[in-house]
Amino acid sequence: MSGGLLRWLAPVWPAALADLRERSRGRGFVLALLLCGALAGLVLRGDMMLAVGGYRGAHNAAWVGAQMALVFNTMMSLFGYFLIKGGVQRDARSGLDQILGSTGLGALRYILGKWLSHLMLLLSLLGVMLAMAVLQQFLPPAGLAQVAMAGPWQAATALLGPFLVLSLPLLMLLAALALVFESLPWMRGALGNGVVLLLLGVLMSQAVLRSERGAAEPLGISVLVPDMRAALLSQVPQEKLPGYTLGSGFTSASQLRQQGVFQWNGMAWTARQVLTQWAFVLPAAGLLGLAACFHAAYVARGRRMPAAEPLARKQRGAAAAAPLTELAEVAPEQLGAGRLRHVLRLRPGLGRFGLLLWAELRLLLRQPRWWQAGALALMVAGALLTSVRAQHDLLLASLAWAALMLAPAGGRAPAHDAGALLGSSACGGRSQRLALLAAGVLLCLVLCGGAGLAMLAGGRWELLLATAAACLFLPALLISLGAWSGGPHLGESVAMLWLLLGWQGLTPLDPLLSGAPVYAGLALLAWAAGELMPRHRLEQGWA
Amino acid sequence: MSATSQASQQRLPSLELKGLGKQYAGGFWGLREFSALLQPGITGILGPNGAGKSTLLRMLATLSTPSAGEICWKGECVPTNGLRWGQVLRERLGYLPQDFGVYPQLNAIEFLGYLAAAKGLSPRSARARIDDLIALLNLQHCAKQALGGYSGGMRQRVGIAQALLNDPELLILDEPTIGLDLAERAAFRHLLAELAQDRIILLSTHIVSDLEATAEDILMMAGGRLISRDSAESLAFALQGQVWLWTVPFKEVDALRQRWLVAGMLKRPQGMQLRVLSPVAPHIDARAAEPNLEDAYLWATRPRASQAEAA
Repeated sequence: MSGGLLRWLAPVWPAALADLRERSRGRGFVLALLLCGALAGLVLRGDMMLAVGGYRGAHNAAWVGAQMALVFNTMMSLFGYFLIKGGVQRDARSGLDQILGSTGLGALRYILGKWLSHLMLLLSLLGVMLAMAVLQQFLPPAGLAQVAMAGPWQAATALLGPFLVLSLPLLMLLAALALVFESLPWMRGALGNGVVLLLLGVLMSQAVLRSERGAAEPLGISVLVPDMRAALLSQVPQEKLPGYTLGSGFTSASQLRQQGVFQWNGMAWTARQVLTQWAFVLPAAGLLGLAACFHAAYVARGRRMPAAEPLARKQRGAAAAAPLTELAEVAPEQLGAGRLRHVLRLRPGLGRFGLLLWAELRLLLRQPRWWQAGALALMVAGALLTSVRAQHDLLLASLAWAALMLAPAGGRAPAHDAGALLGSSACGGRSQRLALLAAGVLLCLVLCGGAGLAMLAGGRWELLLATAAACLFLPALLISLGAWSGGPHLGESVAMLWLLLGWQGLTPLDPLLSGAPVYAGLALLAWAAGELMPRHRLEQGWA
Repeated sequence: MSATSQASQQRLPSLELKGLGKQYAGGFWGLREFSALLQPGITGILGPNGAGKSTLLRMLATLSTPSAGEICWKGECVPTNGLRWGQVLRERLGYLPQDFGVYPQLNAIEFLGYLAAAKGLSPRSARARIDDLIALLNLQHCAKQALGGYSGGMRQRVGIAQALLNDPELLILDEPTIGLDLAERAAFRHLLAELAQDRIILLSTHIVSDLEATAEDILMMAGGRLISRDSAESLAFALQGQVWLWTVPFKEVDALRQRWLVAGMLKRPQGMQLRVLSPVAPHIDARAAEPNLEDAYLWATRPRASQAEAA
């Protein structure tokens, strides 16, 4: 690398480090690490298992490494974006982008710095998974006997290989993809979230389909699963092997324990396999270039501000000309407090709470048309669908749709530094939080209303009650996570992950199958967790 | 005192702070034994960074709970370790923090409407009041534009509007004129003067001229304590004969600044004119000058070594 290029790149590292420090010192980052640890815990306990044709691999370093890497890749490709996004937006909000724009950093190096910071954040999450995978070597889950590999070196390479070959390039690609969306101001909000979720969902399903054909895809399924399948075929040739399944319920996990086990000693990595996976760095570079172009265009456009209308042009002119000591004499006469009408305050009680609830509801309903159209479609479809399974899926989709709007509401005040204004208001504090919760519950109930009517007509009381409990749980969880993390991203990630895993068959995470009392209790717990936050932080952060 | 006069006194707000203190984690006291009786009018707060001004204001804005002391509103004392004290103040409070944010997607009317609900205003009152405030603060032209596009001064005016939404009897303003231009600052001073007739206004700012022009009473703070309280004139008058103008050669400025407490410097053709605060004339050529509030502030908050030397 030439000295000139190194000099050009020199500011990227400090920029990335500063961004990483800023982000990693927030509560959201700690919670994301915990979430990742919890995810690894699901795998460790054997509650989320990789199955090839209904068989699981013998519990050795290779199997654990591959399983952890695939779980991590799958989850990160769906939710990594929500965890890392926000760096560019924060700079825009704080005005730091203007300071940086006035330096010689430039759009490309700025974006490179952000990308490096994103990557390091994702790597820290990868580190948690890796640490848990290493831990599992020493503490295998109950009922799964550890099968030793030939030697420590072989075990180490088998464990690390999937992370290095499969996860690293994927994280580079994800970090770059997030920046493309962040660099477009109109894609930073709920629209971007929806588009990304859709895009990543399509990409993931495509990856699974391509893996069946052995074609290259960034998740690494097409690399690992055929090798596992070959090992399985050599040991159990009579089996008809379907494809790749990831994640199953508690029941099916315990069933898997009862089913067959095959020996897989890890990949014998070829240069072609490594290069194929690392080739995904090239589209990442392309995306970075695209993000830099978008960011340069955004900076060049500048901030749009309404033209400042003078107080009174003549008076302003006079004021500007006047010495400071004479300002009192040139002040406009019409700006008198006598013009203010007296106000009527409502008595504390239900009327006041109702007003606050209405205000919160109006804020929640101020959503873009596409969201409103989606909400309407979900309500109508819910009323029309008759199949229990379809209704169940639609209710989960409705809750996810509501979560897209509720997550920003949970962290709204701290994200916009408006906590002090609300916290010093007569109905600030707990009343405001309760009003927000009530508005969130109402929003969820309305979204699930179509299906609710159908359930009512069909007399499916149990599902109806479970839906009501889920409608209580989701806003409580999102408001609490918003309070603790100070932003929407953690709430978005947790809610989506929760609902997806529930939908995938992890029954305890499915609010509609776990029963109303469980989720009503969880709602109370989530709410209490939010209230446990030190009072001064609540008041400062979001009233 | 007649019954009418007593009733009128009863209606006027008064806020008494008795031995207020705030101890942070680690044992550090941000505010200690702060006592003051605040009555209608503008009370200015002056003090260097870390003096405890923001701690006091945040406490009175109910955003932080006192560790010690008592607060009495209109003679009714409320212990600060309960929940009620916050509610008692919040009902009457208008607060403009030094740093505050807005919801960038809302326009000024929507944002003020939301805060009006949070302040417990009836919808009809809120609508009328918002219209008045939008007009008063000259935000009509941009009232329906998203706040995200506002300039700093316009956003500050929205902040002032929200503080006045509930017609507060206690108005707490932390650096309210930041971002306002000269005419807006002047207009704001007028507004404060009018509002101060029947309400308590607590004003913290580093712009000493704003305080000098508006505040009847100045609280000077340092090290978390109240160190003096008087009118701007009296505080300045106390320095009579201790403020000196002295023109010195440029090359001597650095050395003299080490030795004397210099309140200001002005470049002159014959050298640098220093404004020196000292009980004795620093030089035979120095001539006495009229003291002002800024001098009084610098004198009261001068480093301890200088204080000992002056004593």
